[in-house]
Amino acid sequence: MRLLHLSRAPRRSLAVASITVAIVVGAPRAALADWVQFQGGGSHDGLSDGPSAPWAVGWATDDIKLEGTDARGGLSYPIIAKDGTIVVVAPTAVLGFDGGDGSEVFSAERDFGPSSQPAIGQVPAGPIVVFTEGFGDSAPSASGSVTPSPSAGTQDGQDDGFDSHVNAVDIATGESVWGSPVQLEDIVRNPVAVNETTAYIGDVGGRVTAVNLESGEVRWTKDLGSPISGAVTLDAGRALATTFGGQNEPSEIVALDAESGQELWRASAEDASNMVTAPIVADGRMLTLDAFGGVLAFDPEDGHFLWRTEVVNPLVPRQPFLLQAVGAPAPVSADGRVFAVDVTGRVYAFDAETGAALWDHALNSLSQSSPPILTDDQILVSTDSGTLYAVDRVSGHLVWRLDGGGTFLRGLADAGDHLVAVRGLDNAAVVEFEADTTARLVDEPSPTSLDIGKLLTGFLLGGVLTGLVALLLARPLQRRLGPAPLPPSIEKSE
Amino acid sequence: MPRMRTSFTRGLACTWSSPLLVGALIAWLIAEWLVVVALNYPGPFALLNYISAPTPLSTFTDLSISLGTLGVQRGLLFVFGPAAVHALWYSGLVGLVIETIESGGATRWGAIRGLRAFPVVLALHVIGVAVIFATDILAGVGGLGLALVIRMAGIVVATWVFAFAPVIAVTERRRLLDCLGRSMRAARMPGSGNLTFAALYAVPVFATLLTPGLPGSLLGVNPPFSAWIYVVLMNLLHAAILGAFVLRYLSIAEEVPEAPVRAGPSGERANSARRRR
Repeated sequence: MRLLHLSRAPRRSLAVASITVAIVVGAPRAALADWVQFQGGGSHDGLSDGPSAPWAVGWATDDIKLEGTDARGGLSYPIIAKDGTIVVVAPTAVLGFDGGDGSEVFSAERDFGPSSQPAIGQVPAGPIVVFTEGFGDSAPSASGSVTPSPSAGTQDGQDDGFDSHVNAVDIATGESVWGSPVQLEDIVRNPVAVNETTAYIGDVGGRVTAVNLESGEVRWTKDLGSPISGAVTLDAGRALATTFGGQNEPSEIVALDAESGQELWRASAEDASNMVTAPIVADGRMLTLDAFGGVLAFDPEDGHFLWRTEVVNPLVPRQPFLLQAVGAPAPVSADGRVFAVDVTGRVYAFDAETGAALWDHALNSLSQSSPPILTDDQILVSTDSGTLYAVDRVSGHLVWRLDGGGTFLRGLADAGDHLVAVRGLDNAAVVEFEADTTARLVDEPSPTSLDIGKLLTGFLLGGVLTGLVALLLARPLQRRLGPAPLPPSIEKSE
Repeated sequence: MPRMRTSFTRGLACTWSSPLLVGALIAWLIAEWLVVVALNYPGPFALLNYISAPTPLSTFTDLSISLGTLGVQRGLLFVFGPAAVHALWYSGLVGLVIETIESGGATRWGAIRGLRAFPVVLALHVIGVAVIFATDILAGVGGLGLALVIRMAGIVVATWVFAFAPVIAVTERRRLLDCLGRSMRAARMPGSGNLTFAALYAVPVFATLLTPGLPGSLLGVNPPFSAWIYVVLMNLLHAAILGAFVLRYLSIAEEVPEAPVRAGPSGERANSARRRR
């Protein structure tokens, strides 16, 4: 009401001030549109400052044609460059899309391989995309490689029999950056991690390889003896890798000096099963998940074990958290709470200090392919059915759901003022979600919370009525049939 | 022994027409559901489908409730807790069903009489857990397709040979091993069709365990009316089948041999014995 009494000049000043504020506030938001690797940054905390629900689907690129003898791997989780460019890895290509409308901005050939998530690193010439390629000796088909790569072996005079490499392309042009790809000794199904100078890759053979971003030279390699689970995490000068473990090897988190590769410490928990995620550093703790349903917390400084809480899900009692193909599960944490999502789409919240369970919400929609991310007040879960869910971080109530337009929605990425994900397998698409100011949030408690009214209604309408109907049908039948034909001795004995 | 269709029709008519039996079944379902929910079991409700089934079909409910409330490691240790509770229910149910078959109606004394079968039914639950784990191990060696066949075969065979044991315990007051042995002998009586009957029952019921999208198969503690209809109907089906087993056993009880029939000497050994003489 007061505005009505302002003179024209102050109103103009107010408008100018508003625009200025919008630009000032908006500029950092645009600048924050970088989600350059798995779960955003080197610590893989999955924290998004992008919009919370409600959203609407903005655009989707449904015309992506995947090549290769087996395109069922689909697209990798997307990553977002500072300028908003969206980058994904396809079975035989690295693809870049405009963040505004989803149009393709570059395409680079890639050796046929698992669609592992790439990362964007910064070199003096500009941003580059670092990606892995090659199926080793185990391509899905004998005619495997569509675009044979110039392996290191052919250039260095080494044996080039094994097809697994790290490569890099310029994000502006899609041109190769390094003289030749870096030869690896095993296949990579984990996301690539980067810091200012180096890319880190963990392979299925248990090696962590550090590659100089600018030159493509191998800085160091460390053999940890057991397959690496998830991306290498970069925190406080350390490269943290989770080893899956085997019959004789324990599952551990190994801290290496990020510069030299020297081992600093190992962390494990006595009652933990095989750890299946990267060590996520968030909210002052290092978190991981194990295959038996354990959510584990360690001290990120020295690997000291803090707590382990086991989730129990009767639908998947033996493997609530799953590491399969290029899918990379991960816990998330903020404001004193740790969150995890199991393969059935059940969301759990725990006290970060003690590991005590706070709430759970059963979405009843499989989520086997993707980790969740956190906005300021919601945890966002993408599911195999293609629906994107938002659950309130405090109450655990479902506040929003949206059909993403296809199945296997995964790899949510914060693109500043909107979210980006991929969906489909051989029918792949990149899909953008934008804030929907017209929609209203819902407030639905978990179906695992007891509602005595609902329960009794179902019981009376279903259970009791069914019993009555059975009685009404069977009594005339019993009268017609008469007593059961038993031998006389049985009837007499009773 | 009555024909399969006759057994089933009689079993269904006798059990479904007893208000006490149907009422007890529904009351047990809601009571057990409230207890397991109080113990933090999050569902699925459809696992209660099998609590009135003979072992090893009901073993799936024991395992699910145990693992679903206690987790894998502790759940496996304490699986015999839910098994004992289900054995108590099944013993009472057997007593009620025997009474309805014998006299056309059930009273609470039938349920009390049924408690005689408790040790046998509990032993069958233990055997059920062993059967599930044994088929799991064999399945691990044989791969996914073979796993299904092995597990199904294990369930059919266990249902076939042990289905009469609780009935024997109640009606003949025999000891545990005697009940199990006699049940096997009764099941194997020539021309009885017991194996076919067990297969016709156990295979479709086992298939419901693997069928996605059935009512009550998701996590949730407030099952909708469709899930209640499904679960009550399935338990009534088990009661009807139990009625059929009771009728089939009581019809031939006097013909079941007391001791295992020993195989006679083989032809060669018999001939050599004759030659020696």
